[in-house]
Amino acid sequence: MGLIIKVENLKAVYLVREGTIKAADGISFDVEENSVTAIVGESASGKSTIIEAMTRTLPLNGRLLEGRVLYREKDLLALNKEELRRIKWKKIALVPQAAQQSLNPTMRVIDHFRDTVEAHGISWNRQELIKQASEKLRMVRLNPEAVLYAYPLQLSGGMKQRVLIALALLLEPEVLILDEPTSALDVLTQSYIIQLLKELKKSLKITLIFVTHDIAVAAELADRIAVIYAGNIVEYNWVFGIFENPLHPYTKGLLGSIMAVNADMSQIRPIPGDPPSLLNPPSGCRFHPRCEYAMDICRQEKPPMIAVEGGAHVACHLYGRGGR
Amino acid sequence: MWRAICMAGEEDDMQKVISVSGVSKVFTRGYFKKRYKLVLDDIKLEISEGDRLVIVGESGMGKTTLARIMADLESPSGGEVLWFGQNIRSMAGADKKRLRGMVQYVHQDPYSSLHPAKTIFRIVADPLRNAQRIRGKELKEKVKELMEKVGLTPAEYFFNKYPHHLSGGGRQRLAIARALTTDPRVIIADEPISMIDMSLRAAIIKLFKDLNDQYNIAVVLVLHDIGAAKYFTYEKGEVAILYGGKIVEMGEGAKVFANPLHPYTRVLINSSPVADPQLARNRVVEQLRSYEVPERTPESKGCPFAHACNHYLDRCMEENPPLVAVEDNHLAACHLVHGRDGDG
Repeated sequence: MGLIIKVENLKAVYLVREGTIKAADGISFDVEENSVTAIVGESASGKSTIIEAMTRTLPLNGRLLEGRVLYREKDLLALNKEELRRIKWKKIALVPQAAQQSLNPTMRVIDHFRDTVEAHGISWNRQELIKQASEKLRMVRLNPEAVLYAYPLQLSGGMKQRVLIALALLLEPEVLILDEPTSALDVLTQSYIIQLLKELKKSLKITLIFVTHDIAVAAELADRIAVIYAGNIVEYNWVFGIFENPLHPYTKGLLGSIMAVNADMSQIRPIPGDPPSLLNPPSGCRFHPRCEYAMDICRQEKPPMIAVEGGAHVACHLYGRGGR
Repeated sequence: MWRAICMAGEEDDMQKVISVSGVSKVFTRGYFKKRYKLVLDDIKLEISEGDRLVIVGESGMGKTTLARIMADLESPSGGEVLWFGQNIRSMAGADKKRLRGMVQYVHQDPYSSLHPAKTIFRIVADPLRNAQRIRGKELKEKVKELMEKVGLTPAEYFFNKYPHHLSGGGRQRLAIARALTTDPRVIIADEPISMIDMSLRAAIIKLFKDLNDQYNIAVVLVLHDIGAAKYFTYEKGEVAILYGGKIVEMGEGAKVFANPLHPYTRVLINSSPVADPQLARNRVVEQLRSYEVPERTPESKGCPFAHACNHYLDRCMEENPPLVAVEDNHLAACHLVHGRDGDG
């Protein structure tokens, strides 16, 4: 398994009236072929900014300051529009959140498929389009006859999310990037989508990168987890490493505060304090105001990402030279 | 003063804060050609002083409607709701107004339930002024006390700030402080954590537990998150699982989670994400026959879950199973469960 995507020192900000929101502050991580990477963080921690920056779909007030996103040695951020179009959807496809009205309410499902094909300059006739779309809908276990000519309002939340996944699979990409694929869905539908993504990964040999706020969902699906806090990756490791031996105090706190059905309820401890505003993030390590191990150095210096034994990467002053 | 009103009721009912019996709700659609949708079907619930109750279900199962009916924000189509033993529909306006403060409702979305142009002080102080007629220095002290109760400390720091200065968790705390202004005996909260960051969710549930423990306020939570429901009730309290507008299982939290009886409850628990990658990879998640939300009308027959259930019997399609006790303080509405001790 080789590397397929490498993100290096990604920095992005949003310009707002009050100043700049530093939503991604030096994000680096690697993604291996046919693996599942989860980016886990709370709302407004900058997790969606990372995928928006990677796919160059930042909103108008977003600015990419520096960084590289290498897809098979090609820097996506340096490509011109036409070159990028050739990679988008054919190699890397984005699945937006179904809950955020990503489907056009005035268009039938088949029209969405047609639009996608046209936008990428592929000349399929109608039969070919229907054949391809039906095949992809069957992959996500939807009945093409029932769904193809339906309007989005006729579909349930879980079905819409599956239509979006089918749409992303249309041009057989190598990498699927999903923004919150299961949030705003019910428990049963969520578990169904997770099972589906697991199967797609196996049968199609694709690479998945997904963003979630729920670390328990990441535990179900991901091979590697990047934990984001206030625009920084604080820990990056294999899923078993994260759950068996969390290193960063935020990861520890997050794991201690999730109310999973199988958790020991008497051991649940909420993390004190609130997530910081990214307009004026705290100095040094951005977690220090909520951290029980905070030292002087944490207030002054931003901890670098260091590799620890076992393949873990952690950005915390407790580890490495200053720490234990 | 308000206690006195409760005392006037029957002696038995004094402990009962809210009793819901036989409540149903039918939504009507269309004008010329009326279509009916049964949202709640024969709900029976009782909440006593200092109880904890969590209503669990997916979206479209009627849990918000039930909470709203309990709080008298909506009227039932059938059945009755009693507050402190008195029927709220037949109560005189002035009596109801007095009891209204005893039952408080916390809305789901703290981003839209708080007035954006009022300071945090006013959000808590206005209801105190209006309902309790508190003024001046006493008012300030009372606001401070309430904000400290919900963990918004130091209270003075927040007085002149606005809701947008708070995080989702902070806003929800403020909404809870506002609900406490009338000295309620019961707080009903609809999905209080669904709009809140992961790391702050446990803290909000903990706050409800503390309010229940320290001030003996009965708390009713509506949740779709099974884990949170378990966290809220593992020490004490009851769980009611709602499916298709019907309570399919109800009982002590510890019992329901240790020994779920209804097939829906089992699937729900089994499908919730576990925070353990090893377990997540090894377990087999049961797939339902259908994931559609059941559309029921008052004429619908059979168990609402029958169309999705993997263990359905012929009679599930015809007869709606009643909610009966299976063990002490643990009820289920399922022919399979009844069959086990009835037929053999």
